[in-house]
Amino acid sequence: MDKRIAKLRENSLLAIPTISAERALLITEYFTANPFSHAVAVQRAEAFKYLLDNKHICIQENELIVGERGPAPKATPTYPEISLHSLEDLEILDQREKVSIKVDQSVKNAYQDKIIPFWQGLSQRDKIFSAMTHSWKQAYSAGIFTEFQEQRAPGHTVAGKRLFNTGLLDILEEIKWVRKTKAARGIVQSSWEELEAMEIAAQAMIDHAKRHADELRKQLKNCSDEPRKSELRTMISVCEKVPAHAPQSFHEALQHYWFIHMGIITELNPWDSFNPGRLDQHLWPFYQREIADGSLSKAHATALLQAFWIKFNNHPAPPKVGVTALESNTYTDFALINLGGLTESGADAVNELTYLILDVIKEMRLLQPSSMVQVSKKNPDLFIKSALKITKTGFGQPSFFNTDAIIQQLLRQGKSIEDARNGGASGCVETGAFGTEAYTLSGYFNLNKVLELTLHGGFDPRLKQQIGLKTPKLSAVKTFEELYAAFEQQLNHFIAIKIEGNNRIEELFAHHMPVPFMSLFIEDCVANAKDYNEGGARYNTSYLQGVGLGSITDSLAALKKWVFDSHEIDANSLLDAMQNNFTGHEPLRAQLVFHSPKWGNNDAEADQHAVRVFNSFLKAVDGKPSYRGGVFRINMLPTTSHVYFGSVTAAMPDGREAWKPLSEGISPVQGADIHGPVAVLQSAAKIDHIKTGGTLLNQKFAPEFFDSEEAIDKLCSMIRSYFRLDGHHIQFNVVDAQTLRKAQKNPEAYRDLIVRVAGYSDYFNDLGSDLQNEIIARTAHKSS
Amino acid sequence: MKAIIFDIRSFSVHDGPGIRTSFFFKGCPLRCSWCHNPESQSAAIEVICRNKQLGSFKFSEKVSVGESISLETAIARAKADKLFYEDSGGGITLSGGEPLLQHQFCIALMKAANQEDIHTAIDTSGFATQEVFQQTVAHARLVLFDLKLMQSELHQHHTTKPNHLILSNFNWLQQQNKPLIIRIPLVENITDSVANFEAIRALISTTRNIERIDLLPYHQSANQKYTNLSKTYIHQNMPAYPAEKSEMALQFFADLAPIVSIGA
Repeated sequence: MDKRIAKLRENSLLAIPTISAERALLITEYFTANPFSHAVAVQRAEAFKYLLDNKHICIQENELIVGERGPAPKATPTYPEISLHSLEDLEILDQREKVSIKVDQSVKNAYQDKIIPFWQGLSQRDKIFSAMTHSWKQAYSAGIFTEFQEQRAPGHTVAGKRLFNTGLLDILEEIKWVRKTKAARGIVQSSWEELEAMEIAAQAMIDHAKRHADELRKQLKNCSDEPRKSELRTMISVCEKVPAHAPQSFHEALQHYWFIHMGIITELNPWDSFNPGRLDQHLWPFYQREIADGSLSKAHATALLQAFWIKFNNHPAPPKVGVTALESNTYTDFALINLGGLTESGADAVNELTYLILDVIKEMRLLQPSSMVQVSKKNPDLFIKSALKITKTGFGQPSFFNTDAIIQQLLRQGKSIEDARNGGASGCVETGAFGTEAYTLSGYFNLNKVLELTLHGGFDPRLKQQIGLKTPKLSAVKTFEELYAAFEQQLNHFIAIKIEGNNRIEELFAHHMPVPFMSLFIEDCVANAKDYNEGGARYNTSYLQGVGLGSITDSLAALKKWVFDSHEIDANSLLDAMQNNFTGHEPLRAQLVFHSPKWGNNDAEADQHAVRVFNSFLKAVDGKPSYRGGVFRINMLPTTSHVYFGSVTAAMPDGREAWKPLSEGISPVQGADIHGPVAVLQSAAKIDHIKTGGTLLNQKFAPEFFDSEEAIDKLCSMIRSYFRLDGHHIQFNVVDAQTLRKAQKNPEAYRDLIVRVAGYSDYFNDLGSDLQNEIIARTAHKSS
Repeated sequence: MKAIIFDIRSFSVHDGPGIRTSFFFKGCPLRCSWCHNPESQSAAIEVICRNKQLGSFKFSEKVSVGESISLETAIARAKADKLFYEDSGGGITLSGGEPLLQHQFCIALMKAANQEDIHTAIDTSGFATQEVFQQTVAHARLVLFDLKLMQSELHQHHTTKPNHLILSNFNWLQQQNKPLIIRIPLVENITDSVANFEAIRALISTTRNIERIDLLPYHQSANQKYTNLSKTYIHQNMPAYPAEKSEMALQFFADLAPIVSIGA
């Protein structure tokens, strides 16, 4: 990386995340001067314009791609119209040990004097909570589900090709045309308003880009360095051209995207920020043309991409409010760059630029943006192996996704084959038709909490309240089938509550928080004259995410084996042991942990329960209609909610102690998979991934497994096999010395950990402590 | 038909090409002084006490080393990961212990695997009668053959058995058109003498079909296993085989096979 990029990268890494009150103050100013009107979309667009016209333009020395959401890198705005931080929240964010966001006194003063007094009681969060029913609130506080939209706007969307090949002036023309054709047929008032709002928003962004050009002109005047002067001239002409006009060069394409990205995350705080999606596909025509005619060098393309990467890293996720301010701990805003996969016509999409971007990922080694590779049966092994060689450096990227499964999932949901091939995965692992779909995550769903309630007849032992339906307790049921039937009843009950709540929330967003700017880029919002948040997109999907599949599988397997089949454990003694968190019942816990069937070992006795729970969850959710005119679907991913859900769930029959994390994604319970990675993949493939919108599987590996070309070949073939079984996603967690030290102290949680000894592999637990220490030392050495 | 097996391991990546499932047969006619799988030696199922830990709760549990499994179970396990073998060029490996001690079972398992188009490998010390050796190896598509000590007295001294049978079986094997992997344990001052290396070199330099040579440096990893089995380990304090010497051995054998590796 050249010196300038190294410096920008260092600035980004060293920048301390802060809260900036700029956006909150501007939006407060706007709505103070312009009382809430009925033409909500128009007003939101005008507020957006006010923000863009008045925010500080930040251009750092030597930047190539410009645009910051806040007044400085990592200066993070707030969105009081969505959720309003209290002074206490600001204090927590400032003081918390991990992932703190510094809040200086001027921000606190602005909150106290202007922002809180204006927005108190008016935020979207206030509206949501007052619209929810008693049973929704009860289930929410019991930790049965979370709500995605209580602090952030719906988004979960990704740029498609429209964004990269259309200028805002083209879109303004399109709006005119829609107006004409719609007028002939007669349309409702809200559509006129939406179209007007879209025009205001588009024009606001054109003007905003010009402000950047003006600022660059000032820098040019004060610049004496000839090479930089020439760069500044190029940047000025780029900012005068895009995003008004469609980009024509590689540089213009990146800057064009970035302006729009900035706009979308300034308009509101949508989930997963925003995402360029299939970056190697979008940029390929520009790259190919310019490399061929000599106007772009590989080195300059690399520098531009690196500058682009740093831009993402400058933008931490907007900080949360309430209890989550204390719990939620990541700066990541989940922009997930997709590489590889298939072209729209179904050909291998891996190209020269794909490999160049992989090099950028490796060299940048930044938390943001996140990256993944889409692997189709048509992609070459070299592509997978190149990605594995980055994975082995141990920063968790890129992860591996099954393009052929994603396409099947999208087709099953009714997308056209072209829209499916243009899709991918975003956020953590969520399947979407990029550029044409609004696919919002609505909440994590705690499958284990539902089982816990079932064991207690609908009673929550933590809150000491009857939360669920009154079904027979564990001690009152005679057969496993009876128990499972009760579980299914409770499951359906809570999913119905959740879906009803979601639809009410979708309605609140449609009415109060249209996003005319984002709507410009997602097909067919403009053509439908309908906002993204109202169902304007071509496809609308609402996801519910099942959490803790491994834990619930192991609990059900233990219950069936010990309580119902062998009768070796009596229901009341089990409940008693659980209530006491196994204190005084350690041998019982050992029996549950070490001698019960466990998910992740390709053991039918355990795996049948996973498949069954998965199917029950699917049946309860899949195809239910949503307010936006789409349907509900499931996916199986936790982000970090398995930790929160664990913290509200007492001890369970799988031997998990109270309040400890649940299993994550579709991965086995931590340490329960003792038959190696192939057995894990075989188990994981038993659920029908094609009926989901994404599943998450995490595999721990010692770095030695990536050591030789031969080892990489084997991992590559293992990915191929898992994908042949329709597995959706796999990521490799390369363990470090610290993890091995933890495994030494707490062996039962790391029973799955295999290390390479010398010419063979063994379970870390089975090694003597001398040898363990040696391997720790070796691993520490290798990763340093 | 049943066999005593002490482990079946899927995702085995060091016992032949690709991703494999390895069957470790219990019982071995040799007692190599450096043996890193002491649990494989006795042909009987052994019960040992194992210390376990669950949080702060420490307890010991009786654990069986070895299990009697039926042919059907073994075949089912062999077939379970078929897709993974296909994509990686893997298959199953019969290892031990010495699998040839239970050769009837090995033959039946390999026959079944071959019928399913699953690649078969056998990892043997070569210590078996000619008849058993030839009959069994005929069903394997790849043979992993150990060459430890070329001088019979030394072989007898360090493994408790002379090497005549082994060498005559190897001579026969050399005549077959079967892919071979040669495995040479590197144990300091025992197997790594110039004379021994030269003798191994002389033996295999004319052998066709050697696909690779794996040099297996001695490692202390077995200490815990001996303790668990209440067996004494005479090499308990022997340090791991020095890396620079492994490298020298690698150079020495480098020209004899397309792949020569340290470890597997």
